[in-house]
This record gives sequence, structure tokens and C-alpha cells, in this order.
Amino acid sequence: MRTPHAERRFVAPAAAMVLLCVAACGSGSGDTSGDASDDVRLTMVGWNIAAAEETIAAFEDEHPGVTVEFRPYAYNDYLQALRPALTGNDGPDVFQVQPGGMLTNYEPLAVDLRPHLEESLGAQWQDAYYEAGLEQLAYDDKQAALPGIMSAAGLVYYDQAVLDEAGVEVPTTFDEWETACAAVVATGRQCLAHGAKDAWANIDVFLAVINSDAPGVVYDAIAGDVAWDAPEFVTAATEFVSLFQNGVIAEGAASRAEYPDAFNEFVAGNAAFIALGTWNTAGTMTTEGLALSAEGISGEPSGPFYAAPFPAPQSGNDPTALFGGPDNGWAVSAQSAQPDEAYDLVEFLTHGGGQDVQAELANFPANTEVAISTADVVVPDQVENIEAQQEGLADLVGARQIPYPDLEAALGQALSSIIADPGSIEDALAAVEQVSAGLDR
Amino acid sequence: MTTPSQLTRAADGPGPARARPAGEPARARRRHDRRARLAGFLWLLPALVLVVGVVHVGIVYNAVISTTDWNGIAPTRNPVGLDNYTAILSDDVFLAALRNTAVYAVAVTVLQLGAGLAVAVLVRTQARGRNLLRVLIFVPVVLSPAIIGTTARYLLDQDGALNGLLRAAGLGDLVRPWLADSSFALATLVVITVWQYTGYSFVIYDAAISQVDPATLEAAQIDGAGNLRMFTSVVLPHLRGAHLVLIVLTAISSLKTFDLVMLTTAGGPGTSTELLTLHIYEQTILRFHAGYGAALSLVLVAIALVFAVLQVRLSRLREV
Repeated sequence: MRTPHAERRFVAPAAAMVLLCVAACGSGSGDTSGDASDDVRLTMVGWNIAAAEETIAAFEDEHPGVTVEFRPYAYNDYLQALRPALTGNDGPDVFQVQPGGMLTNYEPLAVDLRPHLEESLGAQWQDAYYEAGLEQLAYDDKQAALPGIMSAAGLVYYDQAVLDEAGVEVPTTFDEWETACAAVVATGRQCLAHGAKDAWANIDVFLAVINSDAPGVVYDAIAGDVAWDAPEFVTAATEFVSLFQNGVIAEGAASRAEYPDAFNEFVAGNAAFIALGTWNTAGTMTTEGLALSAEGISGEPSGPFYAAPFPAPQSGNDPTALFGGPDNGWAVSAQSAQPDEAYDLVEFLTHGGGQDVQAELANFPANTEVAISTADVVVPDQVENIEAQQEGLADLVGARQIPYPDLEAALGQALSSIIADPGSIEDALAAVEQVSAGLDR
Repeated sequence: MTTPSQLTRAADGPGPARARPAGEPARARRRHDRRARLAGFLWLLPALVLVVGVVHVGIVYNAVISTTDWNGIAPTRNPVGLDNYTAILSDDVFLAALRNTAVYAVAVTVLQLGAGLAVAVLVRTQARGRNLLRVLIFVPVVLSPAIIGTTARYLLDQDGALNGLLRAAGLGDLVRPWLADSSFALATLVVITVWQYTGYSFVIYDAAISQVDPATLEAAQIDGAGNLRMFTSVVLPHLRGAHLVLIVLTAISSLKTFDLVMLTTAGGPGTSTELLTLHIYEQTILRFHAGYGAALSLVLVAIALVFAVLQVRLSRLREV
């Protein structure tokens, strides 16, 4: 006969097992929202949207009965969280993507937005967006995402106060830059604040160099039509590394991050230049944005700040045109149970009221009909500078992102190696070419 | 002589044994034994489910993935046999990462144990401030690597505090960007790690030294042993277990190092600080090669396993 003691011996571990199962399975019990009413609840994930709450509130006002839960992530966390989220049963309806390798790999998990766009915006829907904004978020004939904001690199931002103190003008060539930097360094500051620890920051500078030397050749190389160890690339790599040798970039850049290290140095007035893109405009040229940027430094921000074309490496050449496209895009998950409402949200973010919110914050809208706001500039003559940037977005020399992650990583690795050992340029570029030749394009 | 009923009581565990009527049938006893075994198994089951479910199944799943070309996202994956493993052999970045990881693990283990032992001995002396030292040496252990990494970037920068001190001390020739110089970056990471985790080694050694019988030390002293002789002939032999545990744990911990490197050098300059964990992250997350990343992970597991087996073997030797 089973005694109470014996029963307890079984009950306790059995209860532990039940609790374990409940704990393990409970979190996946599913979303019960919507069972009490017809309200639609959308989930949206991303890493980079300014004024998310304001944007979502505006969307919810425009779409009664639809509520949006936004889950923001840090970029690196986002990369890891998005995979299981999109392949699981409880994933987001709308997710943010970056053009390039991220879009290439996540495109199969997004719906084609063309049918929605044709129905909502008409047959000429392409006219509503910058061409590059759509192109870089499309895969073959599929419009996998729509651009949230536009951005382009190929600029140096400069601190007018620092240049004035050093008594130098904005350089347009590397020779002028080297001379200007000597004067800046003599004031006890860095010249070009640069976070060479970040591969993307090095790639931006390299693209600015080669897009001045031989506009467009790098895109031929990305397409596999030109070798990465061709003479143009050796020249560009030599010019790139010269910035680390001639005093333009301070020693020790290889262990600095572009954000926050280099950016904070620039905002604090400890450096004359920083090579960033149009995404830097809101944080340096508007009162509200600059106040936010200044939270990373002690004391008041320097400035006023302006942007100029990245100097041409070779005298006689034009500086690079802007290169870039959509800073990021928004896609509808193929697993969304509410694809129509999810599309409404994406359209709002990329073409509707969401664009007005971004424009007000001095982010460059993806909708060609929305002008960036210059009402909050720090000093009035920044308006012309900002408007010139917006014009440049319509005439890009190419993309900023490389659509093949292996190639992008190889180029980043090569540039890091070249910085560490300038004598390794040819070997480093040969390694990039080896990766490029092995790509399945 | 041990009787069957005594064995049964022993299996029941501690506590008063229940009396059984004489002549209880063997079948009832077997049923009782089965229940006892089942109860034990049920108690074990939750931990077993967690360990097997999270660790072992994960490793097996990883092994399966490592034989595919999966990108980590696509619903389909194609079998590629052992291609990912053969590709490892010609992966220059992997070979650099393996070399860096080995150098880093050995250097950290040796220095961290040496420093921890030195401090543990020091606080047993009559040195002034030894109690303060106990506290200070352990503080870095509880700091987040994110804080350590970010702070190190500023302190060890070309214009950072360390170089400022060197200049002030007239040692300007030594000034360099410690984390940005490919000749010094890995060594700098070793120093940061040793600085952070020496307190951990210290605690283990301190506990082990406290177990040394004072009478033994006193006897050695009476026999004329000096401090050095007492340390080498009495204290050190008592620390074999502590050495063993620390060597294995420090080596495995070094193999797993990721956050510090990610936050300070991201593997650069070039590949001078690329470690295996960083290479796995880059391949799996940034380059969408989940299959290849899984193969690299299994290589890392195999290396860690060597240390785990080593620990078990050496523990048994010690028991003998």
C-alpha cells in the first residue's frame, strides 16, 4: 500500500516538473490581445527611429482601432533578436532593415510591397520616393522595404570655431587638408576625429577617396566587373592610409569608436573635422539635436558646425559626390497576421505623417515631396548648407552599403590591416579580390 | 555483516528507517526499490532537462547545423558534409584567431594565477594595509566588462591618463596608443583581464591557504624552515587543488572572452586581437554564415572539452 510519505516523494518532484514545464512553456502562450474587441495590435521592431512615440501616436490617431507596440533595440542586439523573431510564431508585423547585406538576407522574410503601393499610391508610386531609396531596398523585382529616411556620406563636418582659431579655411584637397591639420594640431586639438575601430567608418572614408579618384569604379568592383587589386584601388588605399600618417587622423585611432569616442571629441571642440554623413546634420546643426549630442560630453558643445565635401585626394579632381541611399527601411513580415494594417504603418512611416515627424527633426525625408525643416538651425547660414545636402541626395554617385556581407567584411578587414601595416596594401587588396571572386552574385 | 534490509535502509537515505515485517515478500521489496529509484530520478529530472535541453541538445543541434550551408535565417538549409570544417583549415582569420586565443589564454592564466597567489600570500603577512588590499583587489571582479572596456579605451588612448602619467614621469619614449598598436594590443588586453580577475584567483588561493594547518607551519618553523622554504615545501603542496581549479576555469574563461575585445579593439588593428569568439560572432551574425559559425563553435567546444577532461583526470590523480 502506498503510504502518504511515499506519495509525497513522488508528488514533490512531479510538481517541480510541472512548474518547470509551466515556466518553460508559459512565455509562449501567445498573444491574447484582440480577443475582447476587433482592435488590431501591431508589433514593430527596429534600432533607429527618432521620435518613435510621437510617430506612433500620430499613426494611431490616423488609424483608430490600430495600436502599435514598438520594441527598440541596440543595433547589435537587433541583429541577433531579429532572426528568431521573424522565424518564430510571435514575431513582429513590421521590422526595420538596412540596405546591403541585411536586406539581401532578410528579404525572403518580407512581403513584396508593390501591390500595396500600386493600390495605395497609384501606378506612379515610384515618384513619391528618391530613386536610390527604392532601388537599395528592392531585391530583383520585389520591393522588400520602403525607406524611412535618406542619408549619404562623402562629407566632412567641421567646427568653424576651431578652424577660426587655427586660422585655416575648409580644405578641398588632401594637400590643403594636411596643411590645415598642422595648424589645427598646433592648437592642441585633433584634426579629423576618426574611430578606426569601426569598419564602417573606415569604409566610408575609403569610398569617399575612391569616389573622387575614379567615380563609380568601386561599384563596378562590387558587381565583380573590376578587380579589387586594380591600380585605382592601390592608389586609393595608399591615399586612405596617408591620412593616418600625415597628421590628419591622430595616432591611436584604431582603438577609438566613431560613436561615441570620435563624435564626442568633435562636438566638444577637441577636433576640427569628422567624416560622417547627412545623418549627422540633425545632431550638429539643430538646437535640439545639438543639445542631445552634448549629453555625451562635459561642458557646452563647440561650433557652429557645417558640412563640406570630403576633400579630393588628388589636386585637380573634384571631391566625391554624395554616396548613400536609404539610411534604413521598413518591411512587412511575411508572417504578419495583419498585413494590410502593417502596410498602412509602413506607408505612414515612409510616405505619410511619419515623414513629417522626421523632417521636423532635420532628418532627410525619403518622400521627395517633403522638405527637411530648417527652422531649428543653430545659426542661420546653416540653412543653405542643409538644403545643399538635400539636393545632393537626388544625385548620388552610388550606394554606401555593400550588398555582400563577406565582401564588406573583407574590405573592412583589409582597411584595418592597412592602417596597422601600410606596407600590406597589395596583400590586403588581393585578399578582398579573393573574397570578391568567390561570391555568388 | 550487512543484511538486505540494511542496504534498503541505506538506499532510503538518512533518517529513521521504517521497520518492515519479517518475511516481507521479495516482490514488495523490489517494488519499493523501484519506487525509490523512480523518486530519485524524478528529483534529478528538472536539472537533467535543463542541462541536456539547453547545453547538450544545443551542442548536437550545432553539430547538425555545422554540416549545412544555413545562413541562420532561411527556412531551408543544404547539407554540405564536412565542407565547413575543411574551410576552417584555410581560413586565415581563424588561424590568426586561434593563435591569438592560445597566447591570450596562456598569458592570462599564468599571470592571473601568479598575481592572485602573490596577493594571497601578502595578506597573510603582517604587511600594513593588507585588509584594504583584500577589498581593493576584488573590486574589479564585480565590475561589468562593458565598463572596463569603455574605460580602458579612454585610459589607454594616445592622449589617455596612462600616457599622461608616463609623460609626467619622463618616460615619454614609452608613450603609445596601447590598444591601437598591433604590437601591443593583445598584450594590453591580457593586462586588462589580469587586472580585472586577479581578485578571483586571490579569493580561491586565500581560502586554500587558510586551510593549511597552523601546527604544520609551526612544526616547520621549529625545524628551522625559513619563509621561502615554508612557502615552497608546506604551503604550495597544499594549493595543488586550487591551482588545478584555477587553471581550468581561467583557461576556459579566456576561451570565452568576447565583450572586452568587442568593446576595445573589435579584433583589430588588422587581426592582432581577433579571438575565436569574435570570429564566430562575425561569421554567424554579421556575415550570415550560421553553418560555418556552428563549425567554428564546435572547434571551440572541443578545445574547452580538453580542459574539462584534463580537470577530471587531474582531480582523480590527486585523489589517488
